[in-house]
Amino acid sequence: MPFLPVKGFFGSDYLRVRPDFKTVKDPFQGGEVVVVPPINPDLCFLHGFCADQSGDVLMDRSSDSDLAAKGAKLTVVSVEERVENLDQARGPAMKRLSGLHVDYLVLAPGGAAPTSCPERYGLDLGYLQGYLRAFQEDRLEAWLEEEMEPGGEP
Amino acid sequence: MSQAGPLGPTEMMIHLLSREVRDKEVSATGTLSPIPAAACYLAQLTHAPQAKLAILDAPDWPFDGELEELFNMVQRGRVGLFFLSGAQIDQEANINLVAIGQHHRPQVRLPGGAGSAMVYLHSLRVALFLRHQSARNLVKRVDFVTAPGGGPGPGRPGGPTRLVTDLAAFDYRPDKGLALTSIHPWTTPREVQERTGFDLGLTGREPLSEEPGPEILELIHGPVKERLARVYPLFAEEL
Repeated sequence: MPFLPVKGFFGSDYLRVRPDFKTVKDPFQGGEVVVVPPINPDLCFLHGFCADQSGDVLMDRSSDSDLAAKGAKLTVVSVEERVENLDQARGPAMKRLSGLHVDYLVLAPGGAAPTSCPERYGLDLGYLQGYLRAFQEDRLEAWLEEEMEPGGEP
Repeated sequence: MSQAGPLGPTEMMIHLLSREVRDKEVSATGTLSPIPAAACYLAQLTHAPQAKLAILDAPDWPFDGELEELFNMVQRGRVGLFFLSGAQIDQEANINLVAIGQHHRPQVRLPGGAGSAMVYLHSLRVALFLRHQSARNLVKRVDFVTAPGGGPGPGRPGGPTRLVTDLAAFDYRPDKGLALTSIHPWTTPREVQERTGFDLGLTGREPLSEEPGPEILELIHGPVKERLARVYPLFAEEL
């Protein structure tokens, strides 16, 4: 699709600050309609449950992140584990992302932490609160150094 | 009575917002909306047993994907009620979810509109909520109009109906904007004015908001809380 017509936006300041949002005549129903250009990210990082030899990935069915993978110039997918048979590994809350969209695949168990990976691990609230506190107390640099130490946890 | 549990701002907001939900209609909530979600659940247990709900992140979210199908339904005019909030809401019921300060040099860069620039214009009704009303977030004019207030007209089937905050309730009137309709029992007209960035035109005869009865509070602290815990566990714990 060269661009997308979208409903709404009239009366908002988006049309003032986003010169790339344009209005055109609706050729079917008359009146004006806003059109927006495609988003093609340079890079997409996505975390999935598992991948097989072909690079096909199982990811959270409720997530729309595969749109970014399909639109990006370069897509890097990390997964919890590698499996032999993707069909057997597939749970009801998962969908498949074709390996044709994936440029690099990284085996990274726990790779979504400190955020959650549905069915695997939850949000690490304590860790996120530590980050927030460090930010509020203006010692983010020191916190990052501590946390990002090679071999450190997590 | 002891079963009913306390009545605070959260319970009052849930109670008042639940009134906006209509039976057999689709009511939907977006991200970070525990109070509206609770209001929808309460409505189903009271006046709207057949309300159809789309509570984002709930286990019974009625679609396969995230928001695409819901947003398509909104655009077709099939969603009766949507709940929106903002880092700023103004007298005209414009909402701001983009930036505090100038857009290109913001003091605070906010998460973004998340569909509200469409949802606000195409839902049949929108109920606004604000958990911690202050003169900084209920303002005369938002710094950035992410989605505009306004009544029905060409290209807009409805618009905002009400704003409910931790202090008061406001009706939206297309000619006047947000008009104070009642204040909650723990505040005074003066405090509500102090925590509002525009002139409320107080008369001194502002009525008190209608309190939820013990049976409503029992529902809120019982089945509503239980169901909410499956979507907003941390919020439900505090309820």
